[in-house]
Amino acid sequence: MSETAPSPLQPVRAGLLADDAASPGSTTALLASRCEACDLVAFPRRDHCERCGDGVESIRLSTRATLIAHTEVIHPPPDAKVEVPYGVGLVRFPEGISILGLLDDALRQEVTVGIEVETFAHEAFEGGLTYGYRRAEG
Amino acid sequence: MDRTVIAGVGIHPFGRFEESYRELGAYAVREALADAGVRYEDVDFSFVANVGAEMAKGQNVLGLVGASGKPIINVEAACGSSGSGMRLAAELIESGAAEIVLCAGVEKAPRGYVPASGYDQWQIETGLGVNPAYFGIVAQQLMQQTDVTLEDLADVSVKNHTHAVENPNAMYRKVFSREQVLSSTRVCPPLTLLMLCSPNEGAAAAVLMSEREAARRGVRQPVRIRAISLVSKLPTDDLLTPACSIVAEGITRVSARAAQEAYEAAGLGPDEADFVECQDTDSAAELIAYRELGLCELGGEAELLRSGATTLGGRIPVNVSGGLLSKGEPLGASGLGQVHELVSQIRGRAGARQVEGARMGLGHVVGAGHTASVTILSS
Repeated sequence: MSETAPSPLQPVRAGLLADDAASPGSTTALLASRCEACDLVAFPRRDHCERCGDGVESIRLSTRATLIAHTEVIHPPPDAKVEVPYGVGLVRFPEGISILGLLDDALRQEVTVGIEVETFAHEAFEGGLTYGYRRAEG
Repeated sequence: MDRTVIAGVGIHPFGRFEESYRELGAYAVREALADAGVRYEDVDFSFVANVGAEMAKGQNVLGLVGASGKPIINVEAACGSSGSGMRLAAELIESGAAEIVLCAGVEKAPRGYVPASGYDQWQIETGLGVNPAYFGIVAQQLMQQTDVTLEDLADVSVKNHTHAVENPNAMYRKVFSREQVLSSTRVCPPLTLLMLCSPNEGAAAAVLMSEREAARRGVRQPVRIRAISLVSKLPTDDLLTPACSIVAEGITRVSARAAQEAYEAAGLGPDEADFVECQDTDSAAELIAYRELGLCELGGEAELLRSGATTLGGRIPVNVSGGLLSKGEPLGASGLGQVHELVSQIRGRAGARQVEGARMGLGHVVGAGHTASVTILSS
């Protein structure tokens, strides 16, 4: 009997991470866009500003940010590939945007509002690369 | 708005049924038409609100009632579907384009997590496409920003379930204690199962009419529509399914904007509302609605609840129908379910859950994708 080969790692959506080829577990910035006219920041990045329609520039968000709220998903949602339980956090970036994302397991188990987190390339399920939040080092 | 009334309302109880969504909808429609003394062929225009059913859903519902050849429009805006339909219906009458407009809302939502809420595939796969997770995060933020406690969240549910005992159309009509709510299954902390509404099945309908037509027909107890606001998202709006990000500063509130628009259009203030039916998708959402509908300031939510003001018998009863927490949430029908309650109360026909002196009532719905609508009705 042959084993199924592990799924090759692929981003769950192109362009969430500044580097879609980042190795899982590495500290990696999120890719956002900022409007050239009104400074509104968007994630995932957009081609045109939601507020004024003008052109945008791509920006890498800081890899360090603040966890402002969190919860946990305990019951498996249909079509989710991640395993329960998993933590979800709302993280506020210095660039003026707060983004929902997965917490790594260590953070989920010992989480406090207000702590500093860092963004990392997270293999949230086999073969699926996305972004996650973990406790910032140092 | 100054010339549109509700001449009749109908409702199919909320719960789980063998009937198809078409039959649920037709039931409510027939009841509303009878209540208004209107035949289906007299209706100039129909709006049918529904989220999850097949194509031509409104046509299929009304096909069980009649075949009049008049226009039928299907309306969808998640939980804001009914409110959206009502706004369009009222505008037709205000503008003189129609005299009699039928609004129906119907849903047969599957159990459990609400599907197809507008998330992108990556959100769904990575487990971020989960509506109660949004509610949990918003609830936690409410507790950070105010003195709302876990007990307060439980007490919203206790209040609404107690109210529902007297509502024959609610799915859950049992009293729960604070302890039972707190110890019910953890869903997305801090929220437990009894702090969250269940999507379910039901239908409601209303017949709108110009005041002139209502007078001509001798309609008994027409209820005046003072305003129906309808707003969509601004880039700075608060966290709501399916958005995965919000601005960090200067957050605006979609429901507050809908409420303000309705008050301005009606020339009224929150002090003049006698009772409210608001969107309690979860306990925290009701407390937040107290503030966004102008019933209290930021930080006053817990006190308003604890004082008993929002309990039947209090100064400004909220969700005497039992709210979504007790009625369940048939998405497309929720707003019209609120209208049914508002009208019944204003007409003095709410039986054991009658709000004394109910003359002006507020309805409030919010839908995924940032639709919000506030309805003001009065005698």
